[in-house]
Amino acid sequence: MRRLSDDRLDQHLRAHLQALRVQPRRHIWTLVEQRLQPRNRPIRYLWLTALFTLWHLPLANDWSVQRYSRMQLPAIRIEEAITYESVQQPAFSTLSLAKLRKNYWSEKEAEALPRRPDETGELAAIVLEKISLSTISHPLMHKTIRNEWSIADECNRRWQVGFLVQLNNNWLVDFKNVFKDDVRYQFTMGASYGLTAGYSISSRWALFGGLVHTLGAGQRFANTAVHGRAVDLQFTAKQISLSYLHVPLWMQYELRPSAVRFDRNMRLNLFTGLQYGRLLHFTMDKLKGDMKNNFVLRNNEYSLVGGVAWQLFERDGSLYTVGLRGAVSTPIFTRQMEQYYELQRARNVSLGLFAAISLNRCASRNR
Amino acid sequence: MSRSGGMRLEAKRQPLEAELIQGCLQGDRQCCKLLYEQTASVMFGICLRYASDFHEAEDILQEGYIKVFRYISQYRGDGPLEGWMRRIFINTALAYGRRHKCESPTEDPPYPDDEPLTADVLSRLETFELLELVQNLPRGYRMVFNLYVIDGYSHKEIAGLLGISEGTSKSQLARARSQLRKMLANTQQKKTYAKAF
Repeated sequence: MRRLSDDRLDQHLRAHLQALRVQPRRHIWTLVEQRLQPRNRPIRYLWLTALFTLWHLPLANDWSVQRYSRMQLPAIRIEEAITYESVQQPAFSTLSLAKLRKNYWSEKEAEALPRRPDETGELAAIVLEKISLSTISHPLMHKTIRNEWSIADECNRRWQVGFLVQLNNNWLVDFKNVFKDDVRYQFTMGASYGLTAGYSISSRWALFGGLVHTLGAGQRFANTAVHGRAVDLQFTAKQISLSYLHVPLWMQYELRPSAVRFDRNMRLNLFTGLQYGRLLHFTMDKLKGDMKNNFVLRNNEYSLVGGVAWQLFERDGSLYTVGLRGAVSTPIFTRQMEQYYELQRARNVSLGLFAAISLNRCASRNR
Repeated sequence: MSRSGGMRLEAKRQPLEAELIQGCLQGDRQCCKLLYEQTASVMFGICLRYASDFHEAEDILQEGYIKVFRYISQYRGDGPLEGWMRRIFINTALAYGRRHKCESPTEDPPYPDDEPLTADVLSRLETFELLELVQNLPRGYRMVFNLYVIDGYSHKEIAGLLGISEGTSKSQLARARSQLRKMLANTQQKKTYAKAF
């Protein structure tokens, strides 16, 4: 019996294995295709929001308006221009009328102007048209005037009590492996609703607080480093669903009317703050967790919150607002169980679209 | 006759591959899928050789294709596409191996060494049995064995790829062969027993 030489062994294995062809399972292509698509990382949404805000900032903020006014509107004295207040008054003051006459109309033209309160909207339109036709040639100027017009009605001290509803896109982000591609997330929706209250401490700054019930925080995910990328989420996915009572506290900064960009009296607010969360209940893989003997999840959660809010309009003393709100929490698992559930230092991250209606009472007004 | 037919075929296939590459460059998913379908079986064969099991091979396959589609713009077209893809898959498998180094035992598992290996044992083994034997090699041995014996890399190239010395590469290859012999002998023994009972 002749012993097999190294060359012979190599040759034989090469002959069999060099041209080895094996058809992979069908779903592999689907997984490759999924990974070729841009990833839905929370960070991307945040960047997009930040970019969007920054893009609007120079034109939305009022320093730009003032700059335009100084640079390109020397002929118009803004403080003497028609203000919303003056045209809103049931019978506008003789002073305003005098200004109108002096600056923009002849006496004959002024006589023809509407005087009744229900015609004030029409008057505003005429005023703007007159201004734009007579003195403004640049298209931006027209908008700038409208900007000032809306600022004139500013209420710099107001109370607000409102109701908020938010749809959240949730992630459990493994912060120890945030730049790795090991965790595959499945789109997880949640919702929040609650009450908010706020007070504007200056014409721009406001302090808000709230009491919000958050449902469906958490994530459906699979750790591919553990199970392999080719394994279907259906079989290996873990699911954590959390419910919290949140108490957010945030500061809001109002960027001045963004009429230049939006061509309407829309106000843009930036806000940031902190949020305390009390875990109410949780489910893991659809099994309800025992809150009394919970040693896995932290009962108290603290988050950094921030976002953008667009104050759409005010009607009958109610403010209608929509916006984007994001939150990043402290780790959700207890210190002993930090690496539990195939995750390490997992935190709740959410980005949500909210809508709010708030009753609005003005404490003092700019005049 | 057959030669000219072959050339005609070659002439027909060439633009198809170029078209596929062009399509992939433009992000056309259909072209990516076609390229995948045309090459997946060969590439999966490579992945299976370098991986320790089927699931690991699927992981490598996925990562390899992601790299292929992301970096296809770097394919200069001066050689066959399959060759370029092979290199990507081998490199992906090596990187995967480096990442999962600690999961695989580096010591030789115990195999009986009492029976000498003969040529007829090999001839009786199916491709998948041989593949399983290669997959059962410790990760380091398997990498060197595949690179040297199957894919034709030199010890110098292997040393560069794996970040080891040439001497280590040679010794790992010798150990891989020795291990394979033991495993083959073991298989031979098992088959003999199976026949007897």
